[in-house]
Amino acid sequence: MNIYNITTVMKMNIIISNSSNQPIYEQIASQIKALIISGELNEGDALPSMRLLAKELRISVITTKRAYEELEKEGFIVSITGKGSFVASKNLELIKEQQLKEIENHMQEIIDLANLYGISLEELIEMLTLMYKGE
Amino acid sequence: MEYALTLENVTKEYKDFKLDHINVYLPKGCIMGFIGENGAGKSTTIKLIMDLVKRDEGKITILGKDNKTELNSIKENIGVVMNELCFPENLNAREINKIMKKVYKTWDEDQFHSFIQKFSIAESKLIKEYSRGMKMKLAIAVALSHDSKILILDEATSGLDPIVREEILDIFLEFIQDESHSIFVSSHIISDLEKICDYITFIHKGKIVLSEPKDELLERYGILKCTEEEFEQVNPAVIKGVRKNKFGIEALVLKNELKGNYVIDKADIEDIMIFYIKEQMV
Amino acid sequence: MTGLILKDIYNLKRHSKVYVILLIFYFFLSRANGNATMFSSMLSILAVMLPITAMAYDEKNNWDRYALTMPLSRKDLVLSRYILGLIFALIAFIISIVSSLLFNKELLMESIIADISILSSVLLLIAFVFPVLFKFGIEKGRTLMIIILFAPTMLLVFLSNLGIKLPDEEALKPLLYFSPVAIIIIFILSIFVSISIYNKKEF
Repeated sequence: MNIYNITTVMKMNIIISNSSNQPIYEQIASQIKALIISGELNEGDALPSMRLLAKELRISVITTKRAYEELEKEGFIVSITGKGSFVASKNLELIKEQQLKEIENHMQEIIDLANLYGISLEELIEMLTLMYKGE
Repeated sequence: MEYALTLENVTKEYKDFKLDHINVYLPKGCIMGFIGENGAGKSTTIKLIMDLVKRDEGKITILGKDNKTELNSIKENIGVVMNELCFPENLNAREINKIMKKVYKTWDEDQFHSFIQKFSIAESKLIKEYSRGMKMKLAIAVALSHDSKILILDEATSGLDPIVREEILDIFLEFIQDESHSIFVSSHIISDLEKICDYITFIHKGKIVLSEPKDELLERYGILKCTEEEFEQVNPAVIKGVRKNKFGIEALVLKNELKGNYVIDKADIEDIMIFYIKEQMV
Repeated sequence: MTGLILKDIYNLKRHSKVYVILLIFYFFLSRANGNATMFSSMLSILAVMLPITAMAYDEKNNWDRYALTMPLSRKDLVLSRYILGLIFALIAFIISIVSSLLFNKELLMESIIADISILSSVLLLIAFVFPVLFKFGIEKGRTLMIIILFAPTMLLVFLSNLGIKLPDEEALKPLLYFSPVAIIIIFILSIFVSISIYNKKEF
């Protein structure tokens, strides 16, 4: 497993909020996910150890462990005992799927609103085309 | 799963107080906060762990070894900070170092010196002139300057100002970076424990009320705020404690099992403890 | 265990300058009066008081409870105090021998016997007083301790008042040859008693 870069831990920003309704482990997992998807974290980059993350964020190590477990389950990272956790090989399909899902969610919201206000599909497509082109 | 500390069915009876069949399990590499009001049995439990008092029933293991028959072989690896200040008053830090060198095989003089410096303790100052904070820091320096794999602390932060407490919590977090290290810390200052603990064990009147991962506790409980009428509609099984005031009801509830649209605030560990105790008193 | 003795020495060190001065004062006072008893009594008393003072500090500082969390056993805690007592007894003995040699050459034999009796009385006192202190602590044990210290004298006074004839010197001589052995046995027994007391003690 020597394609993994062990020598430097990437500098990354993780900001958690105690007052958010989202559990802390989820906040951490989604932020790391976002960094991976956006390309700020690359395949093979070393993540900070669970303990170091817990210490710096002043949270329980059980929380960071859970976040990492979630990420590993979804295929974003790989944890090697004795070495640490690393960004997994970019599963492009997986990422694409995530991105499409996100857009789908937003689309659903738009469709719900359109139905509520009685706006037709044609109008929607027109609006979308205009806005997309106008960019 | 390896445990740094286990107590099974431990019982100790005094004339007017009984520690009743308590069970505690601290996994290796974790910090457990041991909370309870004054007189709940925290110090007694720690004394039982270190065999300073004899238990009537039950079994205790530290780092996997039985605390009656094998305690001496692991004392090298246990760092203890008591809630009283136990150093000989006419000594200074330099002399403590010389003594500990003879007491502990794994005594690390350099480590001790660096702690003393970090804590700004003058090496020739007599212990009887130390402030309470300094005495605590000295005790912590001693506990961390030999090969400790488990730290056992009894009210180590009470009586200390917030800045010192913060320093000490940082030291604990640093200690835990090594996953073979564990911490068992008792306190009635819950805000300290809440930040850094992995597990919370709550003792009340000699009985363990709960012992769980802190995150689960925080996720599971919430404070329900509603009117008396609304409260009557709530399933009693979900309610863990109540507080009435002139303008409504506050109740500790299992928020995930509460159906309906209510105002639910986050509960912190202190809330959980207070509601539980009030509930017992009703 | 060396650590424990070192601790007592450091703990007493600052406190004991007064005693040294006192001792020197008593020494010259004794010389001036031609009466060695004052000096020897002072020596004996100090030799017993110092280890007890060390124990009093430990009790005040809650040291034992803390020490037991270190690689030290209850047996170590007991033994270290006896060793400390022995050390002070020997120091007292040496000081008295030296002073006998220097200032009492004429009555050397008797002086030496007096010196040995200082050593014996210190050891005996320790042997009787320590278990009481281990059992009841210094605070509570203080009264008991005073009784024990004065009991022999009281007994003798009491007996002589009753008109009972006390054995004279000749009769006591054989005692002298037995006593070192007896004293050592009593001292060791005392250690065993104290260890068993401490093993049951809760902190």
